[in-house]
Amino acid sequence: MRMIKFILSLATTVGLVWALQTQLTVKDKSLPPLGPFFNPFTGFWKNAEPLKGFTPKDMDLPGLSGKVQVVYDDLLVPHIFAENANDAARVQGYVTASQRLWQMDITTRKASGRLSEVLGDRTLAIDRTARRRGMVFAAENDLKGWQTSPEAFQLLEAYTAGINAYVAQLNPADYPIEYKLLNYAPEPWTNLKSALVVESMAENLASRDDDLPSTNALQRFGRDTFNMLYPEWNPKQHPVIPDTGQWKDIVPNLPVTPASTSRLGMQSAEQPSMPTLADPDPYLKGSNNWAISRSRTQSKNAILANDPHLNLTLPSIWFQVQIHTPQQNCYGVSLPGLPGIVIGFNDDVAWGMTNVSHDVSDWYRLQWTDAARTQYQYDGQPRNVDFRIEEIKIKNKPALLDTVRYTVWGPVVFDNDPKSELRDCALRWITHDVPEHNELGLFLSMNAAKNYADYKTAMSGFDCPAQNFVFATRSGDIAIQAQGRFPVRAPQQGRFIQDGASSANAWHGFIPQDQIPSMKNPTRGFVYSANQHSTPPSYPYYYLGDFEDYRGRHLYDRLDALHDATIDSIKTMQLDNFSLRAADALPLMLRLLDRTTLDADGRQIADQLAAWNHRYDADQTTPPYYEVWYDSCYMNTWDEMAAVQKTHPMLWPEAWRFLDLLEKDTTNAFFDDKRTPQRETARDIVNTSFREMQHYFQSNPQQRVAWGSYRGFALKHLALIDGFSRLDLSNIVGGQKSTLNAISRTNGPSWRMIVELGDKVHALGVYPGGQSGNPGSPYYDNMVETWAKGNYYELLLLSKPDEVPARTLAQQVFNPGK
Amino acid sequence: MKNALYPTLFILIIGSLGHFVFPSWPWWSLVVVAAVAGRLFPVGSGKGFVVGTAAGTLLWYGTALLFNVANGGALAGKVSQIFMGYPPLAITALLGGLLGGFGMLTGCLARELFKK
Repeated sequence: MRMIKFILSLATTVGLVWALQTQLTVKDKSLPPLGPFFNPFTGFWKNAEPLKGFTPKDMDLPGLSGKVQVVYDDLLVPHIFAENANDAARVQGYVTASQRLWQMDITTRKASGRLSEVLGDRTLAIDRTARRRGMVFAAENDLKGWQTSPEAFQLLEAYTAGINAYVAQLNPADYPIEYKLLNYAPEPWTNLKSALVVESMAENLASRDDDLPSTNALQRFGRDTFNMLYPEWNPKQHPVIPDTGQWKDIVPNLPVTPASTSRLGMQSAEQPSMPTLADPDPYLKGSNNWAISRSRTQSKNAILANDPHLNLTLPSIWFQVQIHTPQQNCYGVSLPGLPGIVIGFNDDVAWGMTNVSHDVSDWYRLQWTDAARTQYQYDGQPRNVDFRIEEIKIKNKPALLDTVRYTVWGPVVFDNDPKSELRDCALRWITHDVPEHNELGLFLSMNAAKNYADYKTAMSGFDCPAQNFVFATRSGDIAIQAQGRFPVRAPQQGRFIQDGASSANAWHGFIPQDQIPSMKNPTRGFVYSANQHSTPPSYPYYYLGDFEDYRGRHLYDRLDALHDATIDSIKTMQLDNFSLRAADALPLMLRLLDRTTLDADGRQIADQLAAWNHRYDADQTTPPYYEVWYDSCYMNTWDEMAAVQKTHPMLWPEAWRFLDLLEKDTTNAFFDDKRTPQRETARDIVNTSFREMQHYFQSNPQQRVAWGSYRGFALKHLALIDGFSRLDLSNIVGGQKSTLNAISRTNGPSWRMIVELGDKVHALGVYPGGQSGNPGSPYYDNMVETWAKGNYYELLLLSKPDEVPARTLAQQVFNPGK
Repeated sequence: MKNALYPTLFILIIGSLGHFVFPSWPWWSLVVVAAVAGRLFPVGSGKGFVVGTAAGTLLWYGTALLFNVANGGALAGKVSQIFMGYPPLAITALLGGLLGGFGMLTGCLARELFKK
């Protein structure tokens, strides 16, 4: 009897331990094993950091050549004081990992198609897409190129070693909370992962192309209509770099007979589905940067401003850091996973970036010579495909082996999807190339730059993703350069899917470094960029891309009107919620609106719209009416695209072109709604759309709210855990994608920085998040409200560790290990 | 009362100190500590279950409470959203109690096996 009791009790206890160790799934939600997670000695409680008192421990760090001192300021920004760059990189790796380890892991897992290894087969499609797009292939090539600059590569190795020193001393109890929730353990960092961080940015910023939608539109509408709908240059636009005669002697080195870009190789496609392209958020564009010369500032110091816009997440994409060595003293934001500072300033210079947005990814249609698709035609000869086997490990399941075909152009991304219109096309993407330079070298050189010459030297070492690098110095120089590796193209080349059977269709080399658009100290007294065209059409090289057409014009107007600028007046520009697009569109729409047909509610809305100041402030109630009305006008006009979009992705006309037609060509055939027997004009479209808008708000009265709530705003945790996200900010965050303060539901200014380069540099900055990646830390989201309300922090560029004791939170010393 | 005090203290002290001395102690160490307490101290099995439950609850809840107070309850609020609103402190106390209770019960029953 006693034995039975004992065995029963033992069995219950063992069963209990087993159950609490098992990962659970409740209603589609995956829960961590309860026992380890709630154990207060090892589980998530250990991640509940004290609100007061941050106490990092002094460390021995093997590989250091001298003592390194780190001062944490009251925002938890580490200020690293080292005796040389290698030591600084090692400690930067360590302190970054100590705040952001899981973020670094998940970002590189996503980029390299390794999510399923820890999350199971629900992320398999994401992993396969990343692998098939050649993300790991690209990162491996990055490393090959980077090794050619041993100095920068050494810094990367020191940085990696610093991260790994942090990882090595972790006990399971110390793991970031996400590891405990998702039930896996940290693994060592590698140089390849740093390359994957760069590739992840390239995927975000330089993977956009419209080859398939353009090809479909050309085939459907013919050349004349295509040219009418999709002109590439808006004459109202101010490019980043104007023509001052600097290009008159440049002749692109193109073959005498341009390649047959008209040979599309388009098939009579009746395939019923969209390609499963990783869809870059079409609203991603929003970055601004500018520098103002002394002639336009009150203090007679140059001022530089930058707000790079990205998909906003928690933990934040950026990590602030200061790096002080005898050779440099630099402050700014870094990307966790990369040594050095990406955007920032030092005592002498400041720099910032926006995306150049050129199209650097093209598709080439292949002619297979055999059914198994092991060979394709190339210059009249069959050529063998290279097979790359991707092994995707899956948690609790056998690994998936995916074979990807590589051609001279690049990988055949979609041949696993018989429904894809791109299934027989190879991707030629610049980021797959072995870079000519160590791209990290640019940032490391910029960190130590002292003048314009240093900036120009640093610039020449950067390939991808291409950026508009704005620059200013204490001595008063301002400059901008659209830096990247740009293919030399025949006119229109790369706009459509090209014939992959001929080497004549390849890019014709790359634009030489000294012919890349750049500008220094223009007489107008400012340089700027806002994702608009790099140059006017007179630039001798053809390029194409995904450019923004309103922010740039508005920013130009504001800068042109700017005199005696101060840091405060620059703030109002970064926070500007005025939409030039709305200001252009609304009068056209109101002019065509027939008020006599409106009911009382309609007249009231029309009055409200007519009185609107075209600002998207969070508390404005008019913008939702305008948004729905405009979208409705746009969709009703382009019903021809909507009708086939599902089966054949179509290119949609740009907003400025649509407004052009609304202004000057109100009887254009596209205003006719093909679903109705009569022939509509722009006037009909505008009035019908107004009634649709009214109807929408009558049937959805809960949508009659202020702009912020209508648009919505979510700062989501990287694993989409609601509890770790900030979903409470909609009603205080203003802005819309066409305003300088460009904000959509999930995108916005990921870092706002203003630097005045006086004798003592004065810098402000803020990002929506916090320095800690731990949701249990008071520094996880402490900057979010400041950012949301349009406020800034004073950034501390310390010249010695104990310079500002009032803002010092803690100190940490790293000693060379034995 | 006295024969409940010693096993309680044993579980609280060994159960907490062990994690600091041996950072790699597994999460289920409480079960073993409670079982050892049941084996060592002469308590009846029914009472042992109660004592183990109380000590386990106290150990886990008390430790979690220290973290929670210092953290101002911030992380607990976020984590409760993952667990459908259930308060993490309560879940922690419940699990500590279960593990302590069944651990000590098993220990007591093991001691009774050898009694005579």
